[in-house]
Amino acid sequence: MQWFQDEELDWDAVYAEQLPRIYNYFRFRLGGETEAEELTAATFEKAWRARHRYRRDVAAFSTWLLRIARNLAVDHLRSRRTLLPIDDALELVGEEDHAALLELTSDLARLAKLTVALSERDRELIALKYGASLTNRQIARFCGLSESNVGTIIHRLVQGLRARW
Amino acid sequence: MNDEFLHQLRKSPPPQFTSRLRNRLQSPALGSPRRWYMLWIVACVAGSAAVAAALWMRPSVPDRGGVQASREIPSATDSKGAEQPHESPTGDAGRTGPVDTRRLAPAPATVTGLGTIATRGLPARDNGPQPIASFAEPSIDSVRAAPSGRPLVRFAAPASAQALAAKVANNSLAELYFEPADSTTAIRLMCSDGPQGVDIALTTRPMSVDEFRSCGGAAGFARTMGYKVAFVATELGYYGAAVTAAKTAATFRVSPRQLFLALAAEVPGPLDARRLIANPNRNWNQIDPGLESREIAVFGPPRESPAAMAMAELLLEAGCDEWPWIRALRTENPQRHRKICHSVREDGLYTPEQPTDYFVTQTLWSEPSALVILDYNFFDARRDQFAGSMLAGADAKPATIAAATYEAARPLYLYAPELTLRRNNIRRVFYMEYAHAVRDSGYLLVPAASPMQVQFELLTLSFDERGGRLSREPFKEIDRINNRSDRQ
Repeated sequence: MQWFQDEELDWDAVYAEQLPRIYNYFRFRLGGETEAEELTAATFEKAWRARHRYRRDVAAFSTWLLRIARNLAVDHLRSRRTLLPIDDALELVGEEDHAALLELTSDLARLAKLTVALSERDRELIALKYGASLTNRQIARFCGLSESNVGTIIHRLVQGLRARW
Repeated sequence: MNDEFLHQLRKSPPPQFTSRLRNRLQSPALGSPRRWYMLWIVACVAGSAAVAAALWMRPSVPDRGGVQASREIPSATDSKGAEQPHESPTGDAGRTGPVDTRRLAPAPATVTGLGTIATRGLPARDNGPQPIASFAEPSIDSVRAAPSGRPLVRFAAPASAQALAAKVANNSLAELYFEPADSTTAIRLMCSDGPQGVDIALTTRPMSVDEFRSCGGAAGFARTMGYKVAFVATELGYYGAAVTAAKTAATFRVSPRQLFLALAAEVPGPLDARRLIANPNRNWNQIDPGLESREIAVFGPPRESPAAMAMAELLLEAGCDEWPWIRALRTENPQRHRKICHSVREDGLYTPEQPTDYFVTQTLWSEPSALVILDYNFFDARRDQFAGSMLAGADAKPATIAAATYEAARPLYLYAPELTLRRNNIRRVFYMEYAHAVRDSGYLLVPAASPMQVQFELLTLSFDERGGRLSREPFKEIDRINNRSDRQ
């Protein structure tokens, strides 16, 4: 995809191609539609504001954008663990209620349920592979793993998820 | 690879969202990046100048250390309290500090030691449950601080919980006093009057009715004052270990006793079981003729890591406690008991390894005669790469763990007197943050749950006199509890 016209970023092209990738990356990573929309917007706003700092010689624009998204996801996951006041405990969903609720929710919630026991790295790999649609090679570069290792891990993860799907 | 079900989960962003975001990006509100950049620099420079000016104009204040906290809130007992030594996180005799009893009024309680509330000799009130909101405000605990100036959180738990607790305390801006303790001791400490008491206990079994009824400390204070006695209790889940081998290995079953005899640095001698000798066992059939004639080779967690401590607590302690004299040391000499049960041999038959995918495929698979002791979660996520559970008894499965038939797993419960959490924000924060941290650390066998929600349940435990048992109910706001009590 040609995103640059005479050194100027073709923002429309970026937007058209990258928006679904970033959006789906957040959906897979966080398991919720609303959060995905919020963080996708935050990613693009951040990238837009900082676009003058992007350097073509360091990384592809899609990688840069995904890096912003990933940092936002990490920050978000960290803040999501912020404590609920004890007095709010009553509002929490109980185990039985939760089980019933899950049956009614979407496949995305089902995936979130299945990936809850996975490590952060494994969830990240799933989100990059199936949300952001990266190839194993791109994921390997992005995460600092070897390509074969990425392939092995994802294969194992998919097997595990499919068995419980 | 059949991953179509994952590809199908992709979807296009909603059109309204797409157009809204596009408009927003094109709006002048986002402006030129360089303008924002300049504004940011100007703000930083202005902020720095303001801070510098404030520091320049600030009068010098002598360092008063731990006394400062107590003097900030003048008290009728200040002069008496200030003479007492300050509490220290080491748990020695100096763990006492100045306290402020004003906020306990009108209750005629005396406060001694580490702010522990002495209730002896106080007449019990018989006018039924009272709202505890009167002392749910900042109280004596708000002036307790460690020498570092941070509020002290005293926590009793299995030794393997210490590293995580220290991290959580640091993040919660609290000073941790950690007391390594088994469940009985942890509950006893939580229910203790006096400086040895702790605020929060992590246990591997639920609190018994007798423990609940006889609990002193903050719970005893509430009881004496006629308030509802309650604990905030959280069932965190289970933690566990798995004993297994490479998927191509010939399997056999080992008991905790056999594992102890294979891994301990010192074991009871064959002639005199009360005398410990350097571990002479090099083959499994030396331990038990029924086992294979195979050299002992075990991979396990790195020494001194939380996982190694968990391994010792779950497997080795169960094995070494089969000798009655060692089991007796648990209460008579806990340190010696721990040394005997937790010391792992260092002659090369036990190899500490961090479990990773690389370790499994590159190291373990090339050592088909070796056993490996793993965190249960790691094992469960890669069952197809291992030979299955090799621990005697029930297989390692969520069902057997929940039913408590699998040997190497324990439930985890976090307890604190309700009063302790209500009157001190830092302890509240620590309690909640620790519960989260345990969940997130991979230490637990996490029950199926969405990562979107805080799943564990806060329970208020109270004693049902008619039923003669503990009743469990969701933790509720105090007003609701009082209203319900009024109705009864």
